Amino acid sequence: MDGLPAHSEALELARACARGDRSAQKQLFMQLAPRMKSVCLRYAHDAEQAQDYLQEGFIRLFDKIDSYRGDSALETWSTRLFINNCLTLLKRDKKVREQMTALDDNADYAEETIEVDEDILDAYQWLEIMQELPVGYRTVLNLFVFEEKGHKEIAEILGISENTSKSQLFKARRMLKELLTQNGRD
Amino acid sequence: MAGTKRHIDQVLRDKLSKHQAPIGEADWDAFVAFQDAQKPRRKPILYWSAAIFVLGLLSSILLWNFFGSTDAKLNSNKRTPAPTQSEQGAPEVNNTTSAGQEIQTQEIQTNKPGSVPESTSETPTEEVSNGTGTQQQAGQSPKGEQFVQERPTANSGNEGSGMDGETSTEWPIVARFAPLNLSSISPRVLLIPTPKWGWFEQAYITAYTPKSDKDSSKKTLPLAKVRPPMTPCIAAGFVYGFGTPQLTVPQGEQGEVHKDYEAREKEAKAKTTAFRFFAQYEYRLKLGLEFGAGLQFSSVTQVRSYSFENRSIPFIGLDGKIISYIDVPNGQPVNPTVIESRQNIYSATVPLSVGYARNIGSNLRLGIRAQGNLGMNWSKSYLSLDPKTLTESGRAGNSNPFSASYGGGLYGEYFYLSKWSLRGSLDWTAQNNQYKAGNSYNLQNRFYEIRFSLVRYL
Repeated sequence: MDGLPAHSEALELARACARGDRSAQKQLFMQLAPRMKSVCLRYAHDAEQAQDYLQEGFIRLFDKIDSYRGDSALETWSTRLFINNCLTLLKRDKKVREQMTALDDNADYAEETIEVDEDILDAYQWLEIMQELPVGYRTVLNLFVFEEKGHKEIAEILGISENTSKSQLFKARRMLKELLTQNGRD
Repeated sequence: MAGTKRHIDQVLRDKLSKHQAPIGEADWDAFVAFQDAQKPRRKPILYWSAAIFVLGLLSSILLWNFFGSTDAKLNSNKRTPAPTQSEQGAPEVNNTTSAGQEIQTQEIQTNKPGSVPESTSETPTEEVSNGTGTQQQAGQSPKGEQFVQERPTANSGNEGSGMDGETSTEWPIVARFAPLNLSSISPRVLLIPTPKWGWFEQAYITAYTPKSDKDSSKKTLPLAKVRPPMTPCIAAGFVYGFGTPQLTVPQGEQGEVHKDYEAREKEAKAKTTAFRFFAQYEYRLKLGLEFGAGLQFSSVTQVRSYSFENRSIPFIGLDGKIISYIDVPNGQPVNPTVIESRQNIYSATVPLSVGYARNIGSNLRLGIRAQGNLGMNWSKSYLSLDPKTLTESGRAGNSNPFSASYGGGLYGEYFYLSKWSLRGSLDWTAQNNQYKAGNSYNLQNRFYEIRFSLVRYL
C-alpha cells in the first residue's frame, strides 16, 4: 500500500495513536482505510453497511492499538482486527445469526472446479457481485478464499458444522457463476 | 474481455486481496463524527453512586435536623436578650417550648484567676454602679458557691461583644440559677470563648426537669459517643461482594471466539461472588480524614454458565480457551443442557484506605472512603467440560499470582458503646486480571460489596 509506514515507523505511529494524538490517528486512518474499506465491502451486503463496518472497525482499532507490539506488519494486524470485527458485527445481527444457525446441511459436496475468465470483471464489479450473495455464502467464501481458513476453522469461527461450511462454499461459487452468466459476463 | 480461464477462487484473490477503495477527507470527518457519537455512555454505576450520595445527603440533613434540635435550643437560649433590671433579680428562668414543657437554663460565667474578684456574700446580690465603668454581679452556683463577676459597662471604654460577637453595651444574662437537683441534669456543655473578653469562659447547662419533661429534645440519643479525632481503632469484619466478570481477549486469538460465543448466547451467564474477611488498623485526623491499613483474606468464585440451544458445545481447554465446538446431532438431548465453568481464587492482601467522615448527631458518623488492595492470589481449581462424557472435570489452573483491586464507597458508623461501634458500607471494587498475562483471555471483576465491621477504639 502506498504511504504505509515501515515497521518501526508503524510502531511509532501506533504508539502516538494510543496516546490519543489526533493527527497520528488521522494519518493512520488515511493510510489504512482504503485497504480496510475493501475488506469491509467484501463482508457487507452493501456500501452503507461497509461504511458502518469501517467506522466500527476503526473505533475498535484505536481502542486496541496499544496492544500492537510490532510483531507483524500493521496492515496485517489491522486486517485481522477488521475481519474479526466484521464477523462480530455479523453475528450480532439477529437475522444473520438465525440464518447461520439454519445452515445445517449434512450433504456431502464434492469439490467442483469452476473457472472464469480472469479479466471478466474489475474489482468493484466483483465486490458488487459478492454483495449479492447470501450472508452465509459470502462469509464462508471470504474466510476460505481470502483468509485461507480450512473448513474446520470456519466451522469453529461461525459455529456451524464442517459440512455446512463446505456446502456454503460450494453454493457460493455456483451462485457467483450464475450471476456472471445472468449478467452476460461469462 | 476474453482472457485466460482460471479457478474462480484464484481470480477473486487476485482481484480483491490487494484492492483498495478510495478514501477521502470526508471519510475521516464522518469517522470523527461517528466516534464522537460513540462516546462511552454513563454506566449505571454512576447513577447508583449519585443516587446513594443524594440519599446519604438527605438522610444526613434529616438526622441533623432531628438530633440537632437541642443545639438549636441552646443557641436560642444563648441569644436571650439581656434582661431588664427587674428581671435580673429573678432567680429562675423558665423557657417554655412550643409544646409547653419547661426547659431550665442556667448560665454560669466563670472567671479566670486574677481577672475577677470573688464575693463571699451568702446571698445572690447584684451591684450596679452606673458611670463608674464597672458592674459587679453576684450569684450562687447550684452547689451554693457564690461568685461575683465584674463586667465593664458602656462607659468603661471596654465595650465590646457579647457572646455573639456583636458590638453592644449590654451584657447578656450573667447568672440565672435555678434550684436544680444536679443529679437530674443531663448536661450539654458548650465552652464559648469570648474574643474581646478573653478572660471569661462561659458555660451553658441545659437541664430537664426529671420525668415531667417531655420535650422533644429528650428524644436525643445518649450522650455523644462518637470518638474524638486522633483516636486509633481496629476494625474487623466481613464483606459480601457480587458482580459480573468482564471478559477481555486479545485480538485474533481463539479467545475471541469464546467472547463472541458468549455475546451470541443469551443463556451464557457469568457471575462472581466474593467473601472477604479483614482486620484493619485505622487512625483519624482532626479534619475528618482517616487512614487505615490491615490484612484481608478473600475467596472469589467466578461461575460462567453456558446453555446450548444452538446444539454446539464449547470444549474448554486447560488454559480456559475454547479449543473447539462439539456439534450435538439433532434429536439427541444434551445432558446437562447447562454446564458451568467455575474458578475459585483465594487471596491475601493488604488493604489501604483513606476516607473522610463527618459526625451526624451524637452517635452516628457518615463517611466516604477509597480503598486499595495489594497482595497475592493462591490456589485455584478449575472445572471444565469433558468432551466425551459431557460432564465437568477438574483442571489445574493458571491464575495470576498478583492480586490488586481498588474501589470505594459510602459508610455509616454507629457508636453504641463508648469504645465500640458498628460500621456498614456499600462499596464498589474493581479487581485486576485473574489470569496471567500469557493467557489468551482474561477476566476482570467489578463488584458491588457490602461490608460490615465491628470497631474497637483504643
